[in-house]
Amino acid sequence: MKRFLGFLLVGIMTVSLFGGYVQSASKWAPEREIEFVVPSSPGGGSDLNARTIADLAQKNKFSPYALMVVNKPGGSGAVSFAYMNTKKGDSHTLMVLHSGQAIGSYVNNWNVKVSDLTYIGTVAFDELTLGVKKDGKYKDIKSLLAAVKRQPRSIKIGGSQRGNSDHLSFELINKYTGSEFTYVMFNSSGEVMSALLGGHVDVGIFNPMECIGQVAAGEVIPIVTFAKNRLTGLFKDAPTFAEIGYEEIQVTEVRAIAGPPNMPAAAVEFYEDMLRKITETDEWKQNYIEKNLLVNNYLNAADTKEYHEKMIDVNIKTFKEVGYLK
Amino acid sequence: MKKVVPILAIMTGLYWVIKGYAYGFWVRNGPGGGFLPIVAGLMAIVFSLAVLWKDRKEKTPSDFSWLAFLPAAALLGMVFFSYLVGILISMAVYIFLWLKLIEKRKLSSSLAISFGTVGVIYGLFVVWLKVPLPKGLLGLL
Amino acid sequence: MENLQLLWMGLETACSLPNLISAIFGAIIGLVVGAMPGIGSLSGVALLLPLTFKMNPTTAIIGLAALYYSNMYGGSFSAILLNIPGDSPAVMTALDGYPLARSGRAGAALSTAICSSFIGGTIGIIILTISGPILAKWGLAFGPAELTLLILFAMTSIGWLLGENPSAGLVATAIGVMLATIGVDRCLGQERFSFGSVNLFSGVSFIPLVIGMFGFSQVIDMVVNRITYSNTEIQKVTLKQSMLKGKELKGITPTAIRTGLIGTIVGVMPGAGATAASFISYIMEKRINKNREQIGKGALEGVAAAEAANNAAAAGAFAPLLTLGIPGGGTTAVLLGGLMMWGLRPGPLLFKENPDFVWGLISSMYIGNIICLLISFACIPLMMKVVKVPSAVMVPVISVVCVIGTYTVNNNMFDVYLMIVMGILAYFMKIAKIPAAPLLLAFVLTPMFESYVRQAFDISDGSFGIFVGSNISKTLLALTVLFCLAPVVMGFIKKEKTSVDSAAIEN
Repeated sequence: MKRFLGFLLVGIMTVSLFGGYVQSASKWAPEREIEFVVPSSPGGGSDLNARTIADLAQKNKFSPYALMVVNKPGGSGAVSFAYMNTKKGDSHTLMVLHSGQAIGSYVNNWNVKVSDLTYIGTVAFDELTLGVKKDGKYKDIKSLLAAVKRQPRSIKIGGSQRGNSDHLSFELINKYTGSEFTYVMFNSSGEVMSALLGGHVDVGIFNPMECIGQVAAGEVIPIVTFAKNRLTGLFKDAPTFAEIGYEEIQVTEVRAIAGPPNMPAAAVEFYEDMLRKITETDEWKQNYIEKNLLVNNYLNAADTKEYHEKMIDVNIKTFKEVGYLK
Repeated sequence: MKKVVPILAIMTGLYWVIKGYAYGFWVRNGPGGGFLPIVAGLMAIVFSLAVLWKDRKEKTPSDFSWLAFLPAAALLGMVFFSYLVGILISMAVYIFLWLKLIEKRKLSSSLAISFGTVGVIYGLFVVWLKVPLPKGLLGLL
Repeated sequence: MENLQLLWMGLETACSLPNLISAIFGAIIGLVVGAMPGIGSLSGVALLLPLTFKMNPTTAIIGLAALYYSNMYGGSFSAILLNIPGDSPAVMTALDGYPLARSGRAGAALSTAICSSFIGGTIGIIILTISGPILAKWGLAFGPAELTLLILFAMTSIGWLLGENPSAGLVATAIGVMLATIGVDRCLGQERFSFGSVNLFSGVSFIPLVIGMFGFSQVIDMVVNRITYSNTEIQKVTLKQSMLKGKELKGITPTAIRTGLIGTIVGVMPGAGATAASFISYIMEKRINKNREQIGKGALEGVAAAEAANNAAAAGAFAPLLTLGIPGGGTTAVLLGGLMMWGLRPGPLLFKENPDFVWGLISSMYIGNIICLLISFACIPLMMKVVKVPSAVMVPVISVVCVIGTYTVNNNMFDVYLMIVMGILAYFMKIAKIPAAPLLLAFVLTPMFESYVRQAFDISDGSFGIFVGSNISKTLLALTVLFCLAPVVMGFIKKEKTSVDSAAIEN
């Protein structure tokens, strides 16, 4: 009977994979190169995240085949979501899922929502900070807030994409400080940095890793962070919003990995395991987490799902409160 | 047959303008999702009409030939066949049949060219670059 | 002068045996990958990157950089010989290169491509050496408003490419823009013209479009006009014959220098890249070159303009990458990822913290460029064999190359169908005498234009004033107006003249 069930299972899996691969009873492993989709332009935080994972997976032989990073920017991530939807049931496609896009899929009402995809695991938590140019007009958060009160809509904040955590943090500032900043959307944080250094926007929203090179050189000054507690290292002088009296303004980003809709359970299990092993390597902790001021926090597929569902609820509520969503 | 593209462009242009209007020409102080579709659609309509108007008296027959569809049809056949046997085998068969039946080349040279080309593609794409090519239902190569 | 000293120091690094081998290896792979349709420098660098993690960072980046710029050499080969641009920056090369090859001058076209690639690349590297940091800072002055105007300038100057019937060219431009608006809107996240097809959500890919409109439409043409093609088969070309004559070299050198300069500048700007560089340079040469009448019909100058510009842009793209840590395009972004993984911190401090790395790389680019030149010339006899293949055999072989090149871009059969449809569209366009080049130009420039214009209006809060806000904007705007009006005026003058001429004949 057990044997029969086993065969049945194999049969179902084979059919569900369109006859492509024959599933053996032993643990599933990739049978060819894995396409690793990054939903933004090269050079941003998601891109680095994907490339680090791909590199460590190959170096430590956590996967028999390489992960090929493919950038599919556009539509704040909707393009990649749509692309993942074309790969239904595929075991060889992964995507970097940034909490911003998870929220964005609801806030911007994309055809494909994050709940359509398959959660695989969470690899890190990330903070957000506001940066200004060293020779710019504003040197700290207080003067910035004072200036925008004097002249509403005169200060431009650049962020990457819309309806995500960059955008959310912007909306939170406007709402809780009672000021009126303008949001300018770019396709990646690299573009935001270009615009900030070129003086085309006054303030940029970055993850610490996206601006650390410039901060180290003193070209960009982090003036405030959206974190719960003060950051360390080069960012230690930047107060949190809570410190200056706005406790409600707090945003943490999650970096997770997702698969296409209906990814086979065996594949999810394999990648879950791969991610866990990667996040346990020293190289990951030192060269990626520490260097980029992230918080190492591995969650498995089930926990990732739960965390995201909670987070999305909270965010939708906020976007509704600020009037961006009806 | 000369008129195919201008007429197609006018029809597409109309559709783009109408849909573009729904996407919004100017949204929140800036060009909306419909801005470029409307501009391009109008351009397509106006200049296609200009092209048609200019050619209205021209009576010279165009050098259109139905042969143009032959390579497309052959390729489509190849692609459909690839769903069954995989793209490499399907390509080899396509090259062979084309050379033998349409170009009327010798059997030996047709075979040699067909295997040679597919061999090079296999070496470059599959062995060296590790590009996953579709294997088809039979899952052969 | 300090730079020269550092460069000398870097030269010693670059000439060490492992670094030289790395450069040669990278150059060869770049040539092969560049010549293969569909696979460009981006995939080449991405594929090779993991192999380099165990290497010394300097050796690694020397090899990858060599791959990147030699890819620009390789892209011209398939464009000239098969009319299939191996990579998007080579589209403009095909416009003149293929007609040259058809008229039996493939050797000259290839030599021109190689020589001007070398000239353009060298100019780019020299500028990078002397003024990399300054140049990168200057590139930042191009904000959304300036970039909008730059793209607008490029788009309006497409007018110069239109030939005898401007309306036909403008129809092509409009079709290009319409195709580019298919898929999710980059700015507002709205879904457009996808007709419910998931394959169209992410828009039409560029490579199927190019391969269809150039490569496959060529196949159709070969089948339809069988006779005219078979005449060109009997010709013997040797390496000696493909060397450029003194006069030809004199003709292309100024072109290559001019476009090399422009290419470098465009390459430095955020997000513009080698494709835009070759488009803009080509259009400019079409306007000001002595031999401008022939450009577009098969002129060595046309090949020189496109090739010098895209190689220069590849070098220029290193300026913002090394001095600011900001990638200008896809390939440099992968290199940025590499820098981080080798443990370097890209940003303004890189020049100070790792001078041996930076200057080793820059010096290696001089050497790498010479390596590319030599290897490419050595390849000419081999490539000339392609020209000798009878067109009867070429038809199925090119078809297959078109299919495989298209498929590998996204690993999606939909793209192959799209490629076939585009080939047929291109055939009908040819019959209606509507040129294909403006369509491709518009298609490439539209998404950039849409993003930039939206950002500019966000910054200005809806005011048009931002487009005259800086001196760069004013200059670009003036140039655009000038270029817009000039064809109209020139066309008018020409018309007057021809009507006078025909009147004279009638009399």
